[in-house]
Amino acid sequence: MLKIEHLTKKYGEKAAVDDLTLHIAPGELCAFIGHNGAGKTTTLKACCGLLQPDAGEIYVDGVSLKDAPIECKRRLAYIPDNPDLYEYMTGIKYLNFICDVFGVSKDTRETEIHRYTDMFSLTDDLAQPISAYSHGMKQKLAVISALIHKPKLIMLDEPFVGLDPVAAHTLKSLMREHCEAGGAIFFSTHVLEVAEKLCDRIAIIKAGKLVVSGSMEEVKGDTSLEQVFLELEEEKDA
Amino acid sequence: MLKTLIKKQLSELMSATLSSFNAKARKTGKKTSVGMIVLIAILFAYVIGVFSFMLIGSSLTICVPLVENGYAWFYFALPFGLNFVLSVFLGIFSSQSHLFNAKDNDLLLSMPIRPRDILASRIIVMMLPDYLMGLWIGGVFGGVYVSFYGIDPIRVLIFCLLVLAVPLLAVSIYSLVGWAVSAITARIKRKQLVTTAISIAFLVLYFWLYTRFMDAMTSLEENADMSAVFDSLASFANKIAAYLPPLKWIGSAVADRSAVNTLLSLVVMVVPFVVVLGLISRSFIGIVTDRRGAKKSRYHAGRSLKAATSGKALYMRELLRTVNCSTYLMNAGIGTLMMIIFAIIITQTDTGEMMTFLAQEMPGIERIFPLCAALLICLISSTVMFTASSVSLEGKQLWIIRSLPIEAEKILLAKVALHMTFAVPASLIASGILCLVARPNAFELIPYFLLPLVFNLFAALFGLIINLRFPKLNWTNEVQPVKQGLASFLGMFVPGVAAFVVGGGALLLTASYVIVGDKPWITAAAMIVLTLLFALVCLILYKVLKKWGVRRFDAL
Repeated sequence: MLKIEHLTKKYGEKAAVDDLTLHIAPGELCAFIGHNGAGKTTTLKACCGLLQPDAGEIYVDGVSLKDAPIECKRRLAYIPDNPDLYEYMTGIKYLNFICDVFGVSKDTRETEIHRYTDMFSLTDDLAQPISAYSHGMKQKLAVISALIHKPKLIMLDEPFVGLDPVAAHTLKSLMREHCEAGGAIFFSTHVLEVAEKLCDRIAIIKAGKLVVSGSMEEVKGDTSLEQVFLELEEEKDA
Repeated sequence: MLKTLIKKQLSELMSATLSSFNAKARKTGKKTSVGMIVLIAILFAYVIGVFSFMLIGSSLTICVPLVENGYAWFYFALPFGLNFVLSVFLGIFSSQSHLFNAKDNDLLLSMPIRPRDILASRIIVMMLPDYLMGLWIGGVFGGVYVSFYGIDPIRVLIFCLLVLAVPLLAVSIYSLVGWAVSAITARIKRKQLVTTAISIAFLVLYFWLYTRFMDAMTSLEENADMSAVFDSLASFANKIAAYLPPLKWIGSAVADRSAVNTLLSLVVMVVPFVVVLGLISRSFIGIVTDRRGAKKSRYHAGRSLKAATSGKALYMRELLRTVNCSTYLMNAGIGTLMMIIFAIIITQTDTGEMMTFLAQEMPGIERIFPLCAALLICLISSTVMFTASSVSLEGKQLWIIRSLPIEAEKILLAKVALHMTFAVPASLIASGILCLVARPNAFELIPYFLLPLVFNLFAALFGLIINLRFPKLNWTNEVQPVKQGLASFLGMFVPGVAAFVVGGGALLLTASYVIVGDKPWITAAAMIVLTLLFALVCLILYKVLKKWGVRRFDAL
């Protein structure tokens, strides 16, 4: 579903992402782990067309992001770590705008919006301007906007930050549901327990380079994911 | 602490203007292109030079007659009055946003900083343009006086003191308006619309007072049967002395070197400042942290949703942003109101009579009036600058539109469409009103209406391209991209110069043909040529937007 081939992105002389190659198959839920500034956000942004890579290729559902960016974007949804949404819109207008852009039919959007907003207890607040939303409410709205157009690939940057425990649980269920239906999810997180319990795949990035990638069992073996991560960090310091 | 806050405010101000020079430079950390800085410096110098030239010319004309005839106080009152009026006019639409709506309010209030210091730092930085304007206008008037009458140290001291004090009164007025708007709209549902309505009401009141004042001056001149420049000025001065005594005190303080008048002037300017600062400081936290607003709207799940095409959705997004941001609407859209207001003023005041008089004195000259009117609308249209900050206003929300499956061209054209939504009706209304005095004939009618429309399209496309070249996406307050951005300045300045230079040239050429050559069709021809010329420029700009603009937007 997502094929990253030799991705390199530099800021000035510094390579934020250096020759990164990673494949995520349909149905896979992949966690992207790394210390602050390791290159997670840069990779995610490059995968959804927000940053132009200096080298490498990215394919979404077999379509090249470089050659057909619009086609790729039709197949994916992205949520950044700090969802700055259109504060001049109400929640419902924002969701309706997203549906208009993705061409979601009138009946489908009405059903899907209410389904998801009910799940996240946001229905009553949809008439409020987004400027009146809390951080958690904005995060919920961003998650709903990513789900309503049924993308094949969802990329999320720190999706659980700001969510209450119930909303976090709902999101985890929806993520699993999405992958079981044949979609794929690639998300960054610092919460290793969540990654360990939820994901099929793990990718660990360090200083822009992918150091480990594989199924959960392959990566952690008999130890915990936290142990693996800390050992990798120590190797770097040494 | 205040010093640190002022430094922060200044760095924001500088970054609003300078950091947008080169988006690539921002990303790579390289320094801004020197050539570009020089080019912009030349442009600024040109603007200041042109206005200085006009100011010097005016002050040279009036200095000696006024001083020699006992109206020296009026000569000195003029720069202070001008500084005050311009400062209030320029500050009134952004004071509320600047003082209360900064995105770092919560951050600053969570730190051990007194609200008074936060407010004072914003007011001081807001006053900087007022001081620069005061120094500039005062410097010209003072310099001209010194060139005739030499330097008097006491007079210079009083003059400098008052130059420093006048912006205090101006900032008191527009801060008070900003505070009042915030207080009024705190519990209102549609805050931005009410803010816009109050701003428009203030503008209409301002122009109404202006026209009443000018009418009063005209009737005074007519009654006294005066026609010379000096007599008009003297009657104007007498009227001011009668109705605006503080302005007389200010002028007399310098002219007579009067300690009493200096003290009175300082009291008039400093006391309101202290009172307003105290008033706003006391309610600052309440205003910026008031999240209650109006009664919470509850969403009714049964409500039907309207589906639209992506193009219409993009346009509605632009429209929603515009009507929900009074800073943007009032500053970028003020030209639309000005077009209509000026058209009304021209038809209602002496200008209409003057044109009738000119037509009687110089038969045939009335044939250039349609061109004059169309060019006037073009000139005012250059102050409509929605597109010149529309890319910058995407700010930190740019990720949304960039991650959606929409072609950049569609996004950019929605911005142009928004610009035209406001500019086209205003242009048509203004042209329609000016028909009363311009009286275009059947051949001139279509190009008369068409020329300002095409010019508006040119201004919209140019503004968008210049904003793509100089975007300012990292801002804490909408005032920064809308008013302080380099793109806004160039987006207004370049179309203005184009209207003035190209239009002015065409006007002179046409006038000479009409008077000398007796070719009544020449005005229609001139308007058609100008329309085609601007249409060609629009076509070129559209091509640039489609290729370079799209690439640039995708790389932001």
